[in-house]
Amino acid sequence: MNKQAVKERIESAIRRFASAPSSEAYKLVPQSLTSGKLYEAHVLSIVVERLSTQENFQISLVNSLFISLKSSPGPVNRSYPHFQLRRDGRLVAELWTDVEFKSISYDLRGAQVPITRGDYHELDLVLTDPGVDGRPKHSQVWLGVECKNTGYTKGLLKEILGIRRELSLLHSPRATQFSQWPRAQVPAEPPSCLMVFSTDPIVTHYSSPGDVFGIDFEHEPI
Amino acid sequence: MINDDYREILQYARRMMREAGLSGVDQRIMSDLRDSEGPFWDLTFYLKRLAEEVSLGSDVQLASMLHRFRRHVDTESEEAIEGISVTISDEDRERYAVERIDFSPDRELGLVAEKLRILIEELHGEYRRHSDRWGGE
Repeated sequence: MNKQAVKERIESAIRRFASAPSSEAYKLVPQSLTSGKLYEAHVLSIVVERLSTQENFQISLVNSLFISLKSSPGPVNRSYPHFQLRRDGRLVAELWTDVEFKSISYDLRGAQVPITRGDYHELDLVLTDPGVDGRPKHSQVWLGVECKNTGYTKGLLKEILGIRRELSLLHSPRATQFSQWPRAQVPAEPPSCLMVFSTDPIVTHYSSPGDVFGIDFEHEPI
Repeated sequence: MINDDYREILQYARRMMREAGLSGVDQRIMSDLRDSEGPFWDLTFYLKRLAEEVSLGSDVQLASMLHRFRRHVDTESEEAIEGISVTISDEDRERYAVERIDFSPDRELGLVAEKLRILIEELHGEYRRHSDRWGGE
């Protein structure tokens, strides 16, 4: 193998990548958006699988035959595709993508004041009580998931610690809505679960604050 | 090959990416590259992350996702889930002039990712042989 041969193989791969049919379609939007959303879809498929196999939820997709993600987060729109989760045939929760929840600080201020930008935060995947319309309250969240197809950094750790703070207060272990996955107990009240999936193996090096505050970090390669 | 060669190949790959309109991917991969252990490791990290980016839209990756969804999720009409899409929000719609992106499995991307993975393996093999012979650089 020589330098020129390696260059030619790399050049060929890059040209084929750039001219692939799907790449042409994806070029309408930034590559960071498409690859981020594809990773979100990958994580969503894993979360759905675990909720089905480990928690025995019966899961249905409603309002579409397409798994649908959004380019920007927003409130729950009930006409959008989402997942319904049932136990023994009874609807118990709904799974949404790219949804903002109303923070605990907003609730503590009385929740009657006009909502401002600092009063809600985005999660890539959110499992909530059924029937939520608009932004769910922090207390309606069962599970929040962040998906990071990028190098994991201290800044992202600070971000997820902020999300944890705005979902729940630190508390002695409380039972979650789950029997085992993602966890049966969490040191938080309300007892919501919070997870970070990242392509970066370094993500597990940031897990120690999560042990205290109830955040699970998982390295999930593509 | 020596360190200068690996360095030159990485610079070449980055230039090719920019010329192919993939500057965003190049910059994202470079921002993930930290704690450099030398030009060989920088190059193979870059190629590995590139292969991952390519494979995200591949037939193998998307088929695997769809298989998981179809296995564990029903639909109202009892038809199989057809695919994965991104709805572009109103504000983004004006910027990108597109309402929705459908992710469809692309066999070409799977083949490109596989070619890159084979190249990375060969580079590692060559590097090991070189290190055994000369004790590394």
